[in-house]
Amino acid sequence: MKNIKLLTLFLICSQFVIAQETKYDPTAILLLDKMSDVISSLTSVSFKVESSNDEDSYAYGMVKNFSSSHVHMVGPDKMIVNSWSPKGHRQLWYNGTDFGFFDYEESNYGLVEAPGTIIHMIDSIHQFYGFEFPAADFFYPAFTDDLIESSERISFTGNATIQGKSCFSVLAEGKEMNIQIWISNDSYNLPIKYVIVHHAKKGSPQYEATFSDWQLNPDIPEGMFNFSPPPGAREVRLFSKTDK
Amino acid sequence: MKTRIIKTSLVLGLFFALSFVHSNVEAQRMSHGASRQAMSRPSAGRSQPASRPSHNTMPSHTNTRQPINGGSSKATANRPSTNNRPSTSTRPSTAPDARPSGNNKGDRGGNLSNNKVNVDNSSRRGDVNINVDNSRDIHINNSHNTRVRHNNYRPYPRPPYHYGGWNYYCYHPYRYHPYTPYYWGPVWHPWGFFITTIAVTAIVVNANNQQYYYDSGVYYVAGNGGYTVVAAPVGATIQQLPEGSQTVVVNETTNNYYYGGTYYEKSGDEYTVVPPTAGTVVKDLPEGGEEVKLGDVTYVKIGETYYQPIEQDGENMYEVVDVKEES
Repeated sequence: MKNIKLLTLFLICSQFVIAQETKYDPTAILLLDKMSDVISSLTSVSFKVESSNDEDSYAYGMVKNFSSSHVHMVGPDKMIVNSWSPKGHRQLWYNGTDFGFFDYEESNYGLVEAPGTIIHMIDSIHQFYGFEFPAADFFYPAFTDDLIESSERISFTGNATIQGKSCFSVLAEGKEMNIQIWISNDSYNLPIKYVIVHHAKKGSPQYEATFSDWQLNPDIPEGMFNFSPPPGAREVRLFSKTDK
Repeated sequence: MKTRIIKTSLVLGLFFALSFVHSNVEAQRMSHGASRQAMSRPSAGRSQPASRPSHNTMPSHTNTRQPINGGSSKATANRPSTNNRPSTSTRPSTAPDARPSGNNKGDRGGNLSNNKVNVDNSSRRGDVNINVDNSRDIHINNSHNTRVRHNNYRPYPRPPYHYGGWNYYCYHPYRYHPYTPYYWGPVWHPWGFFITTIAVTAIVVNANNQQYYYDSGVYYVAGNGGYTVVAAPVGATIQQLPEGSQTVVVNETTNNYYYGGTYYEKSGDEYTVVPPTAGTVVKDLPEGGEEVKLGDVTYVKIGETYYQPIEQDGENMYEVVDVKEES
């Protein structure tokens, strides 16, 4: 009995020790907050993203797929994403009331009603239709808190030069994944690159994205967000993950 | 003594179970629990003008533009209180009262469901590639006619396509081509088609305690002063296949006969209507299907059957998809 009590005490203490090991470097948090503040203060934005994603291919094992995207957003409810990947050229667009998907290879498109803001739309469409929006993580309003919530340790790991730009490097380590973010060392503190390593998954697949051509508060004509299908394009039904 | 040990073990077990419970909500590539809490809060101080001023010379976007994500939100109250936390005095003093006052993790699911809209969009379903008149009030419970039989004879050489908790198996790779319904001639009609008089060549067939009229590969039920085309009832037998029927390979030992979206199996001197078998390849699909986009792929859905567009010997074909729930 004595042994069991001792074991219990030991296990409870070990839990507290584990809890106390979590560390959030103030410099890293400050950098993340500054980056998030700049993004959150934008009323419109355009940028490009070059990304690679490891996928476990049945025939070849882990393979890397590359894609590039061009994103335009106007707050709070307009968005267009053009993506090019091995699956072809696809466009996601959102005008505040409807979300649309146009597949240039198949020349078909689907429309669904969508929530009233960009972030709610991204969250909802991702959950119900599985569409991924490139680098959307950075546009969540409480990005730093999201990172804290999913990480056991966040550290400032020094400086680096990415695409000729001086950057700060921040590393967030979690149970499921590690995320390394490079933030520009200038007055904007925009994200320049990030890498996610899913170390809990077999083969530790990685996702890597590099930003370029940031345009802050550009004047984007709203008409750009009104979708009209090209001649000959066919409407298909976007099948929700909850559909049977 | 034994009881105390068991009780202690249960307490330990419960302690550990609770210690390792964590949120696994993942939108995009990272989890965004804190953002979702922030998104569910009213956006204080960001009120829209009730109506847009009608001044023609108003500069575009002035005073009407809003942040792309509703503005930054920092849940400092929820952040871990470690000694090496950054000083909150360095943070902009933006509406601290708008921050969550406590741990609202329990609301996450609710936030999402509150924010989601009518993703079902059933009102649009009827508009897509369907030209069937379903206005007739005919209720025939033969929907299982399109419920696919699993193919247990041949293992699938490629991994399934995953979507929404289901696996979609096919023998052939996906190769999209637009769905163009095939026209089987003037005597063939799609489901829901209504006629007032039936051909004298029609015969009565019974299946599942229901009487049907059969003529030239089409099954009707009587009602509303006429006859409405319905899906061929599984189990119905006919003496002669409709003209234009094709032989389709189900597996190494079995063939089916296919006409107008209906599959037949030979039994003695008769032909019995059977459900489609997964892996069967057909060239033509009837009117009445709809193209559905499941993430990256577009299938044709007819009743409960999913057809994957494929290419076989240089020809556009369709394969019956085997849909299984992910285990």
